Amino acid sequence: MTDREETTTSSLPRIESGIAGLDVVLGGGFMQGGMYIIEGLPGAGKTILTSQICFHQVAIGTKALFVTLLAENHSRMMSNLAELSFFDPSRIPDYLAYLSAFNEVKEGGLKALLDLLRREVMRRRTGLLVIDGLVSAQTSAATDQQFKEFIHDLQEIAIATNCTMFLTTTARERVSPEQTMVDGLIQLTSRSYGWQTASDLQVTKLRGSGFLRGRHSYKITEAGLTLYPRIESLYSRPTQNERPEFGSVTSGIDQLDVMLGKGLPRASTTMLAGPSGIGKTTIGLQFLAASAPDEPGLMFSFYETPTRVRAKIDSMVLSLGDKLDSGQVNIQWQTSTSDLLDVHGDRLLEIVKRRGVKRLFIDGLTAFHSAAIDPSRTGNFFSALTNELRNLGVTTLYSLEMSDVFGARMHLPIEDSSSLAENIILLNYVAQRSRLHRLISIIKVRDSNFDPTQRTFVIGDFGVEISESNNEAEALLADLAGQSRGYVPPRGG
Amino acid sequence: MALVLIVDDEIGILRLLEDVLTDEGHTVVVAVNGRQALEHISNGRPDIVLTDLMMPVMDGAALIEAIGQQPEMAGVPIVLMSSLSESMARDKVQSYTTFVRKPFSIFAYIDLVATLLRTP
Repeated sequence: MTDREETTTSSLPRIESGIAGLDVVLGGGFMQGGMYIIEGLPGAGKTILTSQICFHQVAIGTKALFVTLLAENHSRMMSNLAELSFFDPSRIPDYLAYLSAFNEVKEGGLKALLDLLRREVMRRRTGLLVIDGLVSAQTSAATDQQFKEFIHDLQEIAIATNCTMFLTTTARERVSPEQTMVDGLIQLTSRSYGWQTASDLQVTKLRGSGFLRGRHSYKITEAGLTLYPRIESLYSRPTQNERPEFGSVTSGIDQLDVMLGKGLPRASTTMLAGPSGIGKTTIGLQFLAASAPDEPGLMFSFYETPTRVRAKIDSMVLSLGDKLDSGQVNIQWQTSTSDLLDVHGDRLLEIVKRRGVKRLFIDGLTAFHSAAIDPSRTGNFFSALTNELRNLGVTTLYSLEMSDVFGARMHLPIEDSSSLAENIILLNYVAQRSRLHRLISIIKVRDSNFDPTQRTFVIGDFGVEISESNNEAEALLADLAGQSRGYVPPRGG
Repeated sequence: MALVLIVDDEIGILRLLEDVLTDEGHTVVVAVNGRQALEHISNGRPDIVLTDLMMPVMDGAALIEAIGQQPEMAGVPIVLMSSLSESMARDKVQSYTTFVRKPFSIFAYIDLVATLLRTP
């Protein structure tokens, strides 16, 4: 379930765009015989989007027609499209024809254009028509009323021929008459944020179907346009009937399991907070080393390269190396931290679902936060993401870097991030004279009578080793308290 | 080719049928209600009548009834079009040749008109 706008869904057949994310946003695709406006500034990707839909449809046997109203060079347009992987020249012109209606508009106005479109759609039995550069038709209309009649007549052709139509036009600030008449309106927008530019797609109108409201990020690559529905709108409610998962799973570290009560609650989310270098990644790797064939693991990493992670595994967490080699555990390294928030979220959930991952270690939650163009989204994004992971039965551990190196105060870089985790483990340093000590403590655990005492730990030859009792931590902290009062405890017996 | 009378208050449908059937080589006259249609009929007998059901001034049921009272219109096929189902339309009018439910396929419509015009 999603926060899809609930409306009566038409029983009319749909046509898929072939762009997975867009079909999700549209609730299954465009209505066959419908008319849609694709609006955006030059360069936003209107031609790529509509061409991609055309090539997807012709690949499954639909006949398509791409009509340009501007004095555009078709061979130039096609040579640009040829760079994209969906472009299939073998389908041109029998299944996808490119026509220019520039002269019809110039010489005979809207009536000549309408006659041309009707005759071509009927003669070719076209199931999909793109009219590129609607503004040209609009400027040739003597009045707004004349243009509305043109759109209305075109709509009748769409319905009577069962031809789905896409009209591309440049973005306008005011609502134009044709927007009120068509079955759907899609806006493509690019915005600059500092040095970054983000492109997003918004469906502002869709007749006969619920759709995911709001802005959704998209990227244009050699594969064409890829749309990433906003995670928090897509997963605002669990996608499956939530079945509570009971029991616990091992953290991969015996003493940590003892401190937690009986390990980590199954299908819960755990925040591992601590300063740089304290051992968060090592704990995460030990957590993954407890993966099993029926409990595959995934490391979703932002900062450390797979080579560096592998070196760490080979030097300390030996059992994980075998599991990596056998494919029981995978490392997914994000090569670009400049990707958008939803790109990361989509990639993560896709791998989790495809591989049936049950143990997930996200190394570097702050990288997700950095990817958010609008930081106010982060809380809702994580909430939806962790809800979905929980729903999929995934036990998640994520590391979060704290800026405070010393002390036990939790100063977290992401607002409300503690509310996103059911379990919180805090790692911190304390300095005793010239030596740094590592401390670990449990702040909260879902439905568990956990041990609230602090323990010391070291990173040894086999990873993180936590002391069996809190004696050392207590002595250390008492010593520090004494130092702060100018008191030096007696040594020896 | 034939003289086709199209009667519909939905201008878009009227224009579409007019353009398409003109392209097919027919002579087409159009009316937006039953009264206008009867005026056209008084000027010349059409070979086929395509009429909507629900229209202002004079609806399709009244038009078909009026046509039925004109002996010179005997044998002229009448296509009744409506967004209503045929069973609902039949409550209002029975004496038509063929029913076409809106929205229709223009390809099927062209074939239907051709068939009806061929039928003696």
